[in-house]
Amino acid sequence: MKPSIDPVVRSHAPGGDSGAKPFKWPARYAEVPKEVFVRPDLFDEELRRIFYSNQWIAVGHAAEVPSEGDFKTFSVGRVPLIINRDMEGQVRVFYNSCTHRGTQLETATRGNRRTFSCPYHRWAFNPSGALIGTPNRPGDFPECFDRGDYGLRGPAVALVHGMIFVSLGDAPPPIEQYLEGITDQIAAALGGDGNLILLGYHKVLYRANWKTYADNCNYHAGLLHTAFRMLNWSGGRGVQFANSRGQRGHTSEISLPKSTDLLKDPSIISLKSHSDTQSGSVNTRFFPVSGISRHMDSINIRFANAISVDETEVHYTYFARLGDSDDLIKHRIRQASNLLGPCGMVSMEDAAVFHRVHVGSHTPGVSVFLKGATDANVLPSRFGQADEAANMPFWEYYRSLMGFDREQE
Amino acid sequence: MNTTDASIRLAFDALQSRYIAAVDRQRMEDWLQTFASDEHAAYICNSAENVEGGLGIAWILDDCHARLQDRVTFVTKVWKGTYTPYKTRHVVQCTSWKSGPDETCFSFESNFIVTYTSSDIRGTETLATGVYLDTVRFEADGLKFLKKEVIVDNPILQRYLVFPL
Repeated sequence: MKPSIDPVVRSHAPGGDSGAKPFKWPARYAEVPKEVFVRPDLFDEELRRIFYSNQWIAVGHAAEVPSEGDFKTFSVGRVPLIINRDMEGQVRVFYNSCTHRGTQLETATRGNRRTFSCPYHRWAFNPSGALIGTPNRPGDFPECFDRGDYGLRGPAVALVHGMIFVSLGDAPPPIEQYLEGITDQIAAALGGDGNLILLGYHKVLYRANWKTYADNCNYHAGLLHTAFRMLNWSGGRGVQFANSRGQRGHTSEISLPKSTDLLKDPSIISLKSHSDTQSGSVNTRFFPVSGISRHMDSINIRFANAISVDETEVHYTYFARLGDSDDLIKHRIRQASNLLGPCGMVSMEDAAVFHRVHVGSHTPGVSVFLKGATDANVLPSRFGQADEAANMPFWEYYRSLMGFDREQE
Repeated sequence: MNTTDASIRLAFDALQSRYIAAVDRQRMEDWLQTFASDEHAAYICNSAENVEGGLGIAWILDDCHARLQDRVTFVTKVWKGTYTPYKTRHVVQCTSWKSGPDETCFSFESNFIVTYTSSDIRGTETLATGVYLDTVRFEADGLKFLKKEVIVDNPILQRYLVFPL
């Protein structure tokens, strides 16, 4: 097949030591080549350079595994993980693979186990990852075989306000350094600290590249979401910041409608857990793809994973706070179920627009940031509340990790 | 099966058919009319993972008649023009039924498959498979759903939902 040549992003000699097809990045910081969302050959390179490298990836919250023996499974790229709490109460993360022949150990999405048993050769591991059972008889295995050498392996793990981060790289930076100024924002987004109770999941597959999801989630409420306008539900003041890894914090005031004729049951848009409307909406987005959003009383961690160049799986994971009354927990469940996620009144359109951005990204040219990008040639460090320019540090970090040289004007 | 049983089955088949026609034709007012006017009438759509795990979050949680009416408003007014149009086909097979949970109600369990066709996918795909747990009651204007609980097999929704399953 004759290769197509993008008229805007021209192919040059390889930039950096990228293993992907030669690629040049536009000179202007405000421009992102649409090609980057849809090129299949970039996907494996992204896994290698980003997801399997020295980044810290958000994979769970300790409240998802509250009791000894609780576990959930999740993946980083194609790497399957078991995230669990051992019998001493410690949160652990293991590669979901038997240390004998590499068989996937656990297939359930969540549950409680005192023993993880491999069905292939009956190796058994306890929740601390220790190999506690093999069916071999004397003489079957080499004399030097020691069960202590075959405990479950795992990535590096760090906990921040209950958020579970893993790094598949050899030498990740200290987590405090990596999160660079957003640890307090994590606590604020979770409602004060990490003391949470799991309420449930909205899991959905988006037909969009992971960067399409990361680039379009969290900052666009006003125009896309009709419900805000129909409810006369205006956003107030707010602040937004981004660090050099493109991780963002966003806090904004929510002014709830005093009355509405639109809904027969407006109780789902009330604020019951606190009265601080100044911080009615608090969001944090991690690099590369997950994030936290607290809208009114709905505490929602969005654990996302890159499945393929055009598929992204998102687990909207909802929480109450430890100590909540039964009434407040019921309210949080009703609000989150009806307003958020892939069927929610104020967010269904997100899913629809992710699909359309992805389809449109197969066309030539660049995607452009305008709001807040006062000088396209400068990487901004200060942002207004609703500036799309706050996404620009994400792209600069992505570009540098991928080894793409920037064109010179 | 006695005559009463047969008449209940026939009435339920007619109700489920009206429901299927309403959702596949995307007529939300007709969908609403399949529910009893009781203030506690409910429609809940959730993953088997959440249900079996005892987790309260649902994809759709219309737990009273006011919320059912609001679902009609969501689809016909709030989301109008924001989603890519798609067609669904529901195929439903009743697998068991019984009287109860009280003397006025009957409970039916059915399997369902829902396909969808849209311009943003190639061809037709499966949107969801799962189980309907229906509680029905004879109202002045015929048999109606008091509660329709949709439990989807796949923990991962294959696309966003505009119309109820």
